[in-house]
Amino acid sequence: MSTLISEFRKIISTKFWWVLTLIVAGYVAMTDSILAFAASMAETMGDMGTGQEVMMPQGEEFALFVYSSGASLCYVFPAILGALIVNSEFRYQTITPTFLAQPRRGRVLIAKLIVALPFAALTGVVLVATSIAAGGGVLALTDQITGLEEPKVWEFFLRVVAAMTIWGLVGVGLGALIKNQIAAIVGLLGFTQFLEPILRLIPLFTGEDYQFLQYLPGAVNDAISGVSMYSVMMPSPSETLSLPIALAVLAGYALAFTIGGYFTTFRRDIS
Amino acid sequence: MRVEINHLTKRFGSVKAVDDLSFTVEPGKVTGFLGPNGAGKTTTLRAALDLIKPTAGNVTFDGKRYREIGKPMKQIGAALEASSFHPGRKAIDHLRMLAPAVGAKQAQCLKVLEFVGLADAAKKPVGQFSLGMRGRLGLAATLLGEPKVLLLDEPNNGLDPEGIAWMRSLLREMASKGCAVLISSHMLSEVQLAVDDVVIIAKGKLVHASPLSELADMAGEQTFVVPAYGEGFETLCRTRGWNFHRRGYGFEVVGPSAQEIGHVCYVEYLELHQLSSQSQTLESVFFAMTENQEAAS
Repeated sequence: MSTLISEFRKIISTKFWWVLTLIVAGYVAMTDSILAFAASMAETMGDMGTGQEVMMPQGEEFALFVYSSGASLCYVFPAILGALIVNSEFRYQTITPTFLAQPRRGRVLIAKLIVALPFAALTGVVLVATSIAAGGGVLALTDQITGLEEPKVWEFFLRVVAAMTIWGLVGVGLGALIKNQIAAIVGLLGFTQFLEPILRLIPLFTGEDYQFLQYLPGAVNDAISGVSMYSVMMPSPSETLSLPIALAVLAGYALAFTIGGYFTTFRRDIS
Repeated sequence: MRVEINHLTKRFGSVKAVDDLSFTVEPGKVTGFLGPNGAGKTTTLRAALDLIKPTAGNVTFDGKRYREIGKPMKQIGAALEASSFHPGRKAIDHLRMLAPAVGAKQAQCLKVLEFVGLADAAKKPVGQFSLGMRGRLGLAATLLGEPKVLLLDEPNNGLDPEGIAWMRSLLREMASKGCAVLISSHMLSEVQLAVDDVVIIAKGKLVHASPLSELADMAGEQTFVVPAYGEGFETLCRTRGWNFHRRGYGFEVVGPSAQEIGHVCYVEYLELHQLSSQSQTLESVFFAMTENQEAAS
């Protein structure tokens, strides 16, 4: 218990948790309102004379599409938050006093996982709140359907908070596995924002579907939230995992990284 | 609490940082842990605190390893040289983050901050602290509990003369309460006034362990010798077991009197150009000891 309180105080006495949460809010406010606004323009201007029929979802489906634009990218922020909880200790060598206070290192790691939960969940709640305010706000102002009375939309919001929370744990595990702060964050951004999106576009060009793609972390994230920008972009949406399996796969990533980190970084000499 | 270092060995790759080191830190005394930089002092302390895994041997506190002590920070206060702070965290928050480990409340955190003279800086981020202030904050953390052992790595680093005097009186006071105090330093003169016992290491090996007074007795006399042929005289010193220390063209020899050296050189047909008695400082005894160890290995 004392280790938990220590870990909690470590987070709230630094800035990164609220800075990352603010970034989520700013990012979502921007993407959601731009998408919602652009849609209203498109409606008034027709299809802009391209002659092509643009396949856009309608009604509450479109509202969901707006809300999901932030969610399908913002999951890296709770992951960065989780990683920083571990990496900042090694970067500033506060791991020394941490292990002096609690020489049972496994307990330190478990405490970090537990305290990451509320902070990661908070990023999810802030994401949803911003989505409603910005995306919903612009939709309402431009006389489009907000979908906020639909249970389906609220289910989506719940799923987003669940996904963001588990991403916090994935981050803690990754931070434990990759001790170096820069390497962990660059790796995380590089994989989720660059490598994975490219991999997921392969079926567009080859026309074939690859089973492993649905197990990639971003795809799993989309499977949890149930809505994805990719499924809109893809001509034939590839298969996605069911919700329980997707939750289990994401939690599995967190568990695998954490165990890997325990047997490497957390077993090494601290000098 | 008695701290026992038992045949401690730590190897980093092919380098033995600590080599079969054994000594004891007695309760109620301040022990100076001395040696040149790189002698293995910090490695020994980190091994004692279970931060690094010894290759062989161990360190015990009244028979228990660090990790076997429930709530170890309550009993053992340790501040290591690279003492480590998040630059954005306020001083008081650094202590509050450690406080649960010893069951200390906010009031206790403020009390120790005031005690080490950082009351005014409590709400400043540690990034703005000087080296001396960081040292004081590290010390404050060790005093959060009621330690029966204090392990301090280079505690005088960054302190001004006033701070060093304050540190000395603090260490004396802790020892008088029955605390076992170990302070490391690469300068004997820095801790000479504070310690009861000295443990000297070089190249990871024990060179000398005794009460300070015994080391002081060894200081007494030394003789400055300028031989015609340095190599021959050096061989003589080694065969006779005299401690020596090269200085310029000559040798400072500890142990035998000038008369004895003169006689032996006469018998051995060694020509001398100078032979004079000097009173020797503790520091030069310390240097002679650590240098001979390094030369021998």
